[in-house]
Amino acid sequence: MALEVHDIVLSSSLWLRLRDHLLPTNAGPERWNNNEQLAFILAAPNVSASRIRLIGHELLLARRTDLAHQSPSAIGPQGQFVADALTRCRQEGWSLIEVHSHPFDSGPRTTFSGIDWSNDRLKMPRLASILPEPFYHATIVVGQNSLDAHYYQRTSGAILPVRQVTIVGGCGDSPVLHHLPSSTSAPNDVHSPEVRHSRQLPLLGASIQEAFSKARVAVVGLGGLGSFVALELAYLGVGHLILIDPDRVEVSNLNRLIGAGPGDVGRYKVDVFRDLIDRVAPNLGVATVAAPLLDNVALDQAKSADLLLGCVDGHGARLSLNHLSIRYVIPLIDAGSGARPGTDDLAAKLGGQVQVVAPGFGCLECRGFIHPQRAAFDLAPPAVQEYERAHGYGTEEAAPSVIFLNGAVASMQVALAVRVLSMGSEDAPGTPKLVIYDAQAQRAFPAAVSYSPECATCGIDGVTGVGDLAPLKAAPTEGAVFAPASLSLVTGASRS
Amino acid sequence: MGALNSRDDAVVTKDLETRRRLSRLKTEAIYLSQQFGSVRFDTESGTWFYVERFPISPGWNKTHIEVLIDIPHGTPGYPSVPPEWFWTDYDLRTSKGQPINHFFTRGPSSDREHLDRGWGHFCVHLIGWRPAGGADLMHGHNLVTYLNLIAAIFRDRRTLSGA
Repeated sequence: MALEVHDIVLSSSLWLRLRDHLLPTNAGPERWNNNEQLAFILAAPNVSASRIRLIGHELLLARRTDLAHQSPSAIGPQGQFVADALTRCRQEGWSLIEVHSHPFDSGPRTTFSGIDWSNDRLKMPRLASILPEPFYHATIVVGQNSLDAHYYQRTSGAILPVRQVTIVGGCGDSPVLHHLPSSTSAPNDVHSPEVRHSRQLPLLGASIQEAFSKARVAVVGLGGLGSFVALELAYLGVGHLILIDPDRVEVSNLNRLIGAGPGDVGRYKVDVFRDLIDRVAPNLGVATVAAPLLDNVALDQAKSADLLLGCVDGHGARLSLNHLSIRYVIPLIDAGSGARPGTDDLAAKLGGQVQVVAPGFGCLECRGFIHPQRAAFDLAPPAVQEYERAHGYGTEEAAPSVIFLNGAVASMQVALAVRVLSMGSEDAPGTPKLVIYDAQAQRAFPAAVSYSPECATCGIDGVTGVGDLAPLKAAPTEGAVFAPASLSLVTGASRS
Repeated sequence: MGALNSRDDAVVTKDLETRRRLSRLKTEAIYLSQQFGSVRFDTESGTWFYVERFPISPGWNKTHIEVLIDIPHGTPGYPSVPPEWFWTDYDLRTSKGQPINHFFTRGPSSDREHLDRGWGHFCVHLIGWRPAGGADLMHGHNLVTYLNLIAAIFRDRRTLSGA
């Protein structure tokens, strides 16, 4: 059976600008503000083995001059506005999401009108015939208190409902992640909380426990941090875990790899933790990938997640996770711990940090959490790494690591994951973006982070929402062939 | 729905990541050509950037060298990943004929071709790198700042020659 579009994912800033355009709050005397409004979203697909998501990249607002007609109950764009958007879809590969408002509808189940359906039945097959795969075409109608969404399934020729619109990011205290269900999608099955979670239900509430059971969470890195994180999520009742780590258990891991023993030495870490989780929570769905994040299978699994938990110690892997989060608009909670023995000149340091990456919050790059030299080494082709090691680069000794530090930081990371998965529940407090843990002072405190619009990755001209149009991939193993004569020449006035 | 614009024959031929990298390199090339004269870059996949006559300060056996920068082209790649390695004249020495630290005459096996052409492989490891965003390429690090760093390294001969 063909996969269906599960949800449409929008950054919170795009969603807020879209809502302000569709349902202006300053309606009042200007009659046109009570009219229907229209916008297009250029979107990228996120197609994985388990589901399809459409990710909003750029918002094209239809102004009055872009409209052929507009009234409180109908709207239509000028041909040029449509042609400009379709040209970009064709030239740049974007999918198209059309959005319009029903400002007259304040009910809880806004849906498409008969005219909307007639239009979509006519134009969706036409567009599919002129724009090649992987072009997707969806429409959303937004009422004052609810919305509906559907898309054209190319293989069946049917117009099918999209389950929900997922909003990621946030401004102020708004949630990092929340879902807006579409009116005509089938309602979610609600499960009764299991007795095994009865002692945490008074703290979390049934709706949050339900949200856990539906969540797909990827844990990338199963070392000292990730081993705690994976097991804690299993105990909490997360519904589906994706475990990604290329390494096998070594004897030197056994001081901190919680649950692993001497008999596990030589086994893939993901296999060890799948077995442990099967024992802890037999009903939990677990997918494992014994490969680095930039492996195709690992990427396919990771990009299908609702939430990424970064538990890696390499800067290349951390940079890759940062890009995965921004490109696919999936919230990332990254954690790191560090220990430095004291010397005559330097005091001992022991601590860590947990931080959230999501649109509008800034990212690990603009916060300065990526070491450029180490990231470049980690992401270089194997032959270059070997060459660098031979010349004394990239040969740092393994960093000290101790279980009580990993456990503390991992629990902070899981606590933050609980807040994100709580999706703005009234019971859940606001989500801190960065929490620092000072193990020597035995205190944790939130720290300020800022969003940099100039950031090459998460800024206004960055890669937010590019999805499968610019997927992650490892550097080619073979070096590029260089021939100066084949390079394009740019001439200018030399000052030399 | 209206008709596609007349430019619609230009369908997608390169992936978005490559197009973004090429667009950035093209803009940086324009800036760098003002400073160094003719520059070239790989317009097919954005893997190389080449400065034909890169001026270096006195104290070397040449006044100008060729500089070929290996642009990180995985994803993530440049500009999130800074350039590390560049290639230059195989026979570059100090004016007193001293060899140079960080300058290797044998590159990775896959780069054999460049050695055959008479290139030396040079390593610059960056500690700080905050890449400029696409909206304002001069606000942050880019190939201009990377080449300025190379120029500064050549100015400080003691760093390279160990003298």
